[in-house]
Amino acid sequence: MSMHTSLSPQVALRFDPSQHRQCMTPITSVTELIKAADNNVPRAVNKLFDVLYKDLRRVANARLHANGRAADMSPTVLVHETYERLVQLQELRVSDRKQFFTYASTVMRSVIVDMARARLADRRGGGVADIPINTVLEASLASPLDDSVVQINDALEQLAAVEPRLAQVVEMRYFGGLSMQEIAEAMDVTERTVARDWTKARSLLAAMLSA
Amino acid sequence: MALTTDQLRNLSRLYDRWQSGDASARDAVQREVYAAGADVARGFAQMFAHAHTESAAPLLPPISQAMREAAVLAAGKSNAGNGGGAINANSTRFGTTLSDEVPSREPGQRIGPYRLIKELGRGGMGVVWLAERADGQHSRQVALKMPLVENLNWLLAARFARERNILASLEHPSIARLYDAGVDEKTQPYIAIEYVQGQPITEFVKAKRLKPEATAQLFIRVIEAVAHAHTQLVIHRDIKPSNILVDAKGEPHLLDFGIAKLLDDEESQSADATQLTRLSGRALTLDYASPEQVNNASLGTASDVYSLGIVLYELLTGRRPYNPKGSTRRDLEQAILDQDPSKPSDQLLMANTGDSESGKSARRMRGDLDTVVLKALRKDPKQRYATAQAFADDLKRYLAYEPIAAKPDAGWYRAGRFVRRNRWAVSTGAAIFLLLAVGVVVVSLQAVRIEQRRIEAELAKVQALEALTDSEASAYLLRSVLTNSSGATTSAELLAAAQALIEQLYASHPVTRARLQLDVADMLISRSEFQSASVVLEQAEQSARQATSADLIAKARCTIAENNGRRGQLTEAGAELNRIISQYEETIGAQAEGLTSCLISRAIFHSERGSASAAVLADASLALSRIKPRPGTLSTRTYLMSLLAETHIQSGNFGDGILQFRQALALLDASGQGEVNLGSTVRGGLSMALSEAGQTQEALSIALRSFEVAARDGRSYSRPAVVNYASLLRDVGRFDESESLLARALFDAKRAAEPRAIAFATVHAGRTACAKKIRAICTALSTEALALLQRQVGPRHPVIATAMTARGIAHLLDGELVQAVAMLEDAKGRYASASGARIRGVLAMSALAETHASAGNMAAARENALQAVALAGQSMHGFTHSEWMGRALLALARVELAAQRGDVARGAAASSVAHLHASLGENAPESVDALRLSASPSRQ
Repeated sequence: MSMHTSLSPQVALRFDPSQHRQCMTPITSVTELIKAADNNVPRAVNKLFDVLYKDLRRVANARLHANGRAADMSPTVLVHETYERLVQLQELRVSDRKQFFTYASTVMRSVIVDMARARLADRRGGGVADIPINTVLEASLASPLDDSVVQINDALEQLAAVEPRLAQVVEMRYFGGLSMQEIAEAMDVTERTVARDWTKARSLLAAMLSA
Repeated sequence: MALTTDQLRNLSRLYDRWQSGDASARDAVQREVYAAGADVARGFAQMFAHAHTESAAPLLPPISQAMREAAVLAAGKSNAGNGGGAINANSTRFGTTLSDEVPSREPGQRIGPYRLIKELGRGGMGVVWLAERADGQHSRQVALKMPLVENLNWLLAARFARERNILASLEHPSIARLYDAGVDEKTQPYIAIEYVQGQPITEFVKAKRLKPEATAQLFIRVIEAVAHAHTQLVIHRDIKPSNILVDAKGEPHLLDFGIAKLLDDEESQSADATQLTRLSGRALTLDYASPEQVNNASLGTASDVYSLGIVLYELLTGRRPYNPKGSTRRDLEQAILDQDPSKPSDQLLMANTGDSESGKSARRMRGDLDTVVLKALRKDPKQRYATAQAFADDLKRYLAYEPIAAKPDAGWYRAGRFVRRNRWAVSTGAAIFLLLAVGVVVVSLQAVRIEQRRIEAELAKVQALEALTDSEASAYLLRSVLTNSSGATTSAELLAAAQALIEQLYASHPVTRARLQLDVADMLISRSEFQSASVVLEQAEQSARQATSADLIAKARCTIAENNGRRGQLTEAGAELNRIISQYEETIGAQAEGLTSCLISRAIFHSERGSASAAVLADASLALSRIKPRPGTLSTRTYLMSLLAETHIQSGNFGDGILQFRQALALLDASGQGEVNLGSTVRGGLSMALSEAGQTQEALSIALRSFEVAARDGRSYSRPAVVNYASLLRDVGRFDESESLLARALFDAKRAAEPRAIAFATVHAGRTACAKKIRAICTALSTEALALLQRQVGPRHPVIATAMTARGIAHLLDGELVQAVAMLEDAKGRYASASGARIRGVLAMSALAETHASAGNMAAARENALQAVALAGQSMHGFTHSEWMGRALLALARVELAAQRGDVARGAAASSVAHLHASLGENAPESVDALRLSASPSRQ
């Protein structure tokens, strides 16, 4: 049995994205991929993930070097910029906005966690010699962040097992940078429910992270 | 370490129930949380500790920062030197975090029942908006405060509610009223406070160019507002001019109890301490912070007194008192801790040389006003005014040109008073406490005596001055001691100076010299400096002989003998007193003052030895009969009556003891002295005697007066008068009042670091919790009380039996019947051998009866109940009803009911009702229960 039939596409996306990253599928329109993923078409989720992953990273890198200094690197900006870009490229229909945000949040999470993991690995023996010294300094000063991000990711996995909806709200809000309103639309619930879920999710995460 | 999925699921469920439940549901949740074990309990606490903390240390890092750094690194690797390092770290400060959502507000927005109008201000603690009721309930505008950091840690949730209630109860014209508090649907806590329009007090005083007197007048009202908060166990902790607004009518208003805290709150103290630490970087204004705030030490009311002092200083001089070395926070902290503030008058002169107005003001301030302000600013909290009220009172005295209290060392007369007051607090207070803690009626002889001696000494001094032919000389003596002993700072030095002056000034006036020397000796005795006293007494005897005054010689010799008795020469002292008395009975007239004085000395001598109560009674009665009933002898007469009362009670004669106390009190009341310290002491003795005799309601009404005096004078609540009152409140079922007073007593005792007072307050707080059947607290406090007592009293002290009884009841409440029986049997045995506290055995026996009955052991239960009835029967002391009999009969009724002997139970209950109604009143839980049992239907 495929995991994709038993789990929601959002949850399925979360399973070891590195496996799927090498899949060099020719670019299919994101809209089509979303539709296919929603219909549980085999491998559609993987392809969608792959496409979004690359796109999000591309946007992130592009922003990083804009004017030689980092512009806003928040997930909100990246996800929205990616959305705009895909719509402009006619890869995505405006009407798929809701679904896109849902998937993009999941992918964004992977992007962030992967970056943090990579950096943790680097810190434990990676080659940093050719990096400007102040960057190294700054990166090493802020290193606990990476641990946190990875821990949050792990906690979120556990939360998803108990309260999938709460986990999804956290994913969209924290990793996807979506607004309460966007989340409410994407999940088809009221904003108040999202706010309540968000509060409860933060509470449970606080309990888990301090345990 | 990490939570299991099951634990997480459990937490999720508990969270939902907590959020949706009412108070009782939340209680149930709390119990479940405890039952679920440490991991879940910790997790549960964390949920509420962090989730509702909106802007404190982020629960999780801003994600954009993590991303940016990760991207920087990736870029650096692939593209070294491409400007990756030039990233502005500040750009991500507002990134999304898991604990974000500092909510943005706008006019018209609703928070709970309020609609926002405009923002009034914001700070580290939160934002304040002008708001009005959106539901039209009231038209008034309020200041709606929305704290960013709030005590919503669930462990504190119950206390938060209580704190809110207490803040709500701060009804004082100069305190901005708290109208409402709550949490809106988005979990934003809010507080609605009276909206005050005015200007900070510093600006007001400056604008109106108020003179020092007018400033003091205005500021007294501010201090009294703070004092009011203190009586409600609230300390403000953030007193500063911007929190004291004066409105258009010139009325001051104290604002912002935002970081106020409850005094008696152990848990919140630690929580507050962290909060304060965290906030000290931004919210706490260092300019008005006390040294203990700077040190992050625990805060009491004295901290507020200090901040008030700084504000007053600034109002009077236009400047704050310190001149820090530099401008950093650290410099100011150092100054607060180390610098002695200059006198306000000097400050004013230094700041405005040549200005005639400020020169005048400086002259007005010099002396008392300087002293008052500097006393509020002492580094050591204990050296400041004990309460805000005392601070206000001294300012009032200053305005009324009365001598202020802030100069304890300034004169010999006051030196004596001060020392005695201290001694009263330190040793006698502890002694009475010890007795009182078991409710034993060994009346505070020592306390009466010392208070008595103080008044006697004062009266004697007045008499001495009256007797002087050269009254100029006595005035000169006092003036000389005051002025020539400026180097003397301790009362010991002042006394030494006084002695030297007496010899010098009255070398040729032996009568005056003898009297004054006897006074000095009295002061030394009251300070337990018996060795020094004996030296002065020798001098007094010589002076008396020079004066050839038989009365004075007798007085000196008897006081010497009495004093030698204290120094351990018992046989010689007793013989000497007998010899002097018989000698002077022959040679001196029957009305002689000296003989009376000697009789009193002998009565005291025997009484202090704790023996020969017949001798004490005889001497004290004879002395009493010899004293003319005139105002000048009032205190001596009431003292002797108290001595008689106590002697009666010690020999088990409660009837006569209570009668004697009543007479003493009537005498004091008739002469308008009932409210002064001596009246308080007599009242305390009478209250305890009545309580011991089972006359609880009357004991309570008398204790109330003592309590009121103590409360009015701002004395420590760990005093016996207060603890006794609180204990009686519990006995009649007024649990909440009892609880809050004892919490305060415990706090005061801890603040004063009096281990014995702490132990006794703990015993009583525990008893109240047990009476309220709050199982956990009853267990915790009674266990703690026993541990504390072990270090404070001897193994045979009856208070141990009292604490054991409480512990036994805790076991009973916990269903640990075997342990309960063991503990209560131990207590019962101890009571039986404690002569003064035997009647209290009723409590242990009743509890034993209940325990055995719960275990189904009816024979043992009945035996104990009957023993209690028998004991109470032996101790009726001529009264028709007593609490003890009521309790004993109720215990019997309960046993019989459990044994299904309904008729017997109803009969016992009916008898019990009469006793309990008369002694505890109809509303006491025992009375209610007895009445219910007496009317219970037969179970056939």
